[in-house]
Amino acid sequence: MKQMLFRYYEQELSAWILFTPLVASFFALPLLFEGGEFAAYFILSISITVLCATYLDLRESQLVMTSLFPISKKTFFIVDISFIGRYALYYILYTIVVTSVIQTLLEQQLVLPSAKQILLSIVISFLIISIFLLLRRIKYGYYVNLSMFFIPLAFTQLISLIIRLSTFHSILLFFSSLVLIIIAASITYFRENRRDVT
Amino acid sequence: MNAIEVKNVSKQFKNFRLNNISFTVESGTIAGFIGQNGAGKSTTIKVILNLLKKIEGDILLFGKDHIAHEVELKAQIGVVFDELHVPENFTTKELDVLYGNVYPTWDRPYFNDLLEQLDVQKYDKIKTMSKGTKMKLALSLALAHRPKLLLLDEPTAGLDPIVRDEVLGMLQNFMEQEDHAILFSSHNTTDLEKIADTITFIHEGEILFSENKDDLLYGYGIWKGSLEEAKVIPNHSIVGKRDYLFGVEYLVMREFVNPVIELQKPTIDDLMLFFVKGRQR
Repeated sequence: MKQMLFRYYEQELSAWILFTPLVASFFALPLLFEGGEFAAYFILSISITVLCATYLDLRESQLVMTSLFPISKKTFFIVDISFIGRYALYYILYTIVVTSVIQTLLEQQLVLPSAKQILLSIVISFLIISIFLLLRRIKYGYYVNLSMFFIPLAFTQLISLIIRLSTFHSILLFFSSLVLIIIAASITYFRENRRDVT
Repeated sequence: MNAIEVKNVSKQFKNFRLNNISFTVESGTIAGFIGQNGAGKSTTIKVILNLLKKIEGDILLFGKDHIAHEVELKAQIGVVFDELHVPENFTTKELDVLYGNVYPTWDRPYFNDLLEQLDVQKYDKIKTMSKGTKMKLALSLALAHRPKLLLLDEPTAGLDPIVRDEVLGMLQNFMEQEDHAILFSSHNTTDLEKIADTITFIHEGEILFSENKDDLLYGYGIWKGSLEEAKVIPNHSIVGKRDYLFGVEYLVMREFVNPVIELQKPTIDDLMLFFVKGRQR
């Protein structure tokens, strides 16, 4: 059943999933002059924001239909988390590979991603997903979808800060964001179980 | 066996309370669920489906708790709301595939038969369909996984008489199996007079009565006359009263009225009106 739901949501959002990183990459081209890492975080924050906004919006718009299906809430929760998680991972890999390739071409020597870049990419993904999980059910949570524009803008400011962090601080930030996403996912799970579907 | 057993269920909203309601729907029967707009009909159906969370009380479907056995029970329930809650950009064919993957008992040939019988096009997008066609599709979707219980929330609202008749025909076919049951909420009491076995009346979040339809229609009577003539009607038999131009109109319990006094058979509409507006205080 999980695979079926996964395929269904994938089919519904295929255009968003495929084209968002490409469009974001196009917009991030000028940022490459400031460094591949910065561009990678920018593409990533746009892609994950759009992923969360479109997926959670789709789930919300079909909630009455899916709530009537003989499928447990736990199954839906697992599908939600694994769907967002899987595509977040693909986007992290995409941004790392693309920026490494472009950097390699620009500098005419092999540029490999650093451990810090991987950690910070995961941190950015965790932070954005947590924001969506925590805010989507507040009174005006529906407007979180507008964050498609605002979250990446806000993150460009944050990125310029975290990019200067040392590896040790990056590890600390990684564990903090891990704790945050676990809390956000747990709250979402219990809240979704108790909520009224109207 | 009871298909639905609602016991002392309450649900609180900001401006409305479903207050300690209880009723049952036996297998093999169609239960009409009536009440004004905002009386709590849709809320009750949503609470039964656990879409809205009750704050107290018990709900059993086929003898099983509706939350503890939610997944198993939902496979046995077909639901129709007054709106069709499916993706608008889907075609009927795509819904067939989706529902076929979700319901283990989905009967594709039967679904296609229903569509053909009701003249619903397979390759039309939902957003291009008329309200009547959407309702016919909703019923086909609700029936095609061979449920034992149908929960219908205003399924005939806004439909023309021909489509309404087709819908009622489908429901009567569904009831050919003895263990099937329907809870049918509607404003349109003529539909319920045609097909319902019991009538449950909800008003301002409380159940005013839940009785066999024939007991209601033959157990009550309407007496009309002048105030002078009204003295022959015993006070304890009067359930409701309405004043009209030439006198007074009473809804009375037949068993307490002298059989020689002529009484009119009430309609369900009359019962609703007397219970809501003319109840004796």
